[in-house]
Amino acid sequence: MNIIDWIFVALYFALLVVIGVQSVRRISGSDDFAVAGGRIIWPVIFATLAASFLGGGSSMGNAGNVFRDGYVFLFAFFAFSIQTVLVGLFVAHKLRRYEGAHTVGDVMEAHYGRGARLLTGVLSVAVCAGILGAQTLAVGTVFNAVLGIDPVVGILIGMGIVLLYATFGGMWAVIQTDVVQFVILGVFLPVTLIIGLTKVGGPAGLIDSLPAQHFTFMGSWTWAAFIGVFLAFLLGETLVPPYTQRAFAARDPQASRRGYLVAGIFSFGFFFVTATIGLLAMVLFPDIAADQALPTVVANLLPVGVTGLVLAALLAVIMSTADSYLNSTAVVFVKDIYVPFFRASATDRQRLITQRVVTVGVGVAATVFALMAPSIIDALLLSYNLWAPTVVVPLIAGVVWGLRSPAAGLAAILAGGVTMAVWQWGLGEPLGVSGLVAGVATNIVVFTTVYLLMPKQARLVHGRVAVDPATVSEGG
Amino acid sequence: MALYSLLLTVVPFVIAAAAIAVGIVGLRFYLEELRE
Repeated sequence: MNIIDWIFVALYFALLVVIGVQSVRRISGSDDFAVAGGRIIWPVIFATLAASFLGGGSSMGNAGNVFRDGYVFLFAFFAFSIQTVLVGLFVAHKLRRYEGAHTVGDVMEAHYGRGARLLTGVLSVAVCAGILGAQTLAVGTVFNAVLGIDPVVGILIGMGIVLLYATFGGMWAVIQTDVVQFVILGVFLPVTLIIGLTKVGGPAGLIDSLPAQHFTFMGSWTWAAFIGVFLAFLLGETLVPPYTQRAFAARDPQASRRGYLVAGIFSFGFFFVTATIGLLAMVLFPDIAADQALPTVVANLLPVGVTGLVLAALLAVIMSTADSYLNSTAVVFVKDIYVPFFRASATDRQRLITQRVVTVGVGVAATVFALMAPSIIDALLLSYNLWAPTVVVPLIAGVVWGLRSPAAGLAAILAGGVTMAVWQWGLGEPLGVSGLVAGVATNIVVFTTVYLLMPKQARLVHGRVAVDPATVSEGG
Repeated sequence: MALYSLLLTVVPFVIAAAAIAVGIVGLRFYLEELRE
């Protein structure tokens, strides 16, 4: 990299730190730290949501898989975009009606009681910590692939900056930096594609240089494989804590809905861009490892100055996801586990201080595990498969139809989780059906059966409910 | 082929334009919040 490239990367980091410092004075309580006071307009919800879900998987992962298998992976990956649009149409605006909610656990408690909050909190922390660890490792990979510097140094620099602004500025800093990161990745990854296309002779040259199978709908995949991957992307990340938190952060229900809808539509185009960069890498650098497709194009194809900007874009993709999961882990831990079960008398100021302390602790732990014991992150990432089979169905049933039943909620969470674990890890995915799909199916059946079998009075939620349940029935 | 060429020509510019537009709106929002 040229000195100009380094200057651009340094400016990008400096901008993040400045925004983080500026955001400190916006944080007056845990509500600001968790959901930015619920004041965010829809274009900013769109940007922060997109920046959060456009992570290492949708950029480097997508490019790498399309490099190897062709556009069939992109078509399966579109399931994520479809899911985001569906949540925008049917769920996001209703989530915003839960006044005072910061976490998925807040909503789950309103419908299924304290036990459901605790289980949701534990699952949320596990999912967020695993994905945060994976993004931490990806920061090191990008530094190493593009700059050739030690991944350890890259992780310390990247995560150090994320930790700085996420700890002090909370959700305000995360959202503002997400917008900057969204602009950088939204502009410079398409620029990479345009420059790359000129190197292979345009669209016609690209098509002529690759096997026809790379451009067909199914490629070399079977229908069973396609449906399995499609369902995993459709369900796997639905309403995970950082995405739900953005619905709560919206100024009003309409801002929440529009932000989700536009982010979903945008993601179709963004995934197409990163997938096609994977095809460019296949033409220009056919001998590289698949997961190096995107960084290799960036490192070898772009002119001086642009390389630094696109490196900043790649780092933006990962850091904007890492900061969201870091903030969510801290918020969920404090709101769903620490305060309700260990420190119910905590004042708002004590909650804010605890959230900051937990943010530092989780960020440091993620960095240490990424450096010293990546296997811990691998283990945590397994918990990612537990989200959809446990929480998603009761959550949607509660938010969309206003259903309440502690027995049905708890039974569905436990049955879905156990089924997923046994099917995936115990039986080794019999019939070629993934544990996620088996778990979700069990979850639906158990939830419906227990809900219908229980007498009406058993559907009351006892104990302290963090959000106003009246808003749920009004919202329908 | 024609449709694919069109997509490869149009989509990157639409994505970039959307990102710039959101950047401008986001900057205005940020400055308004700073003033409050």
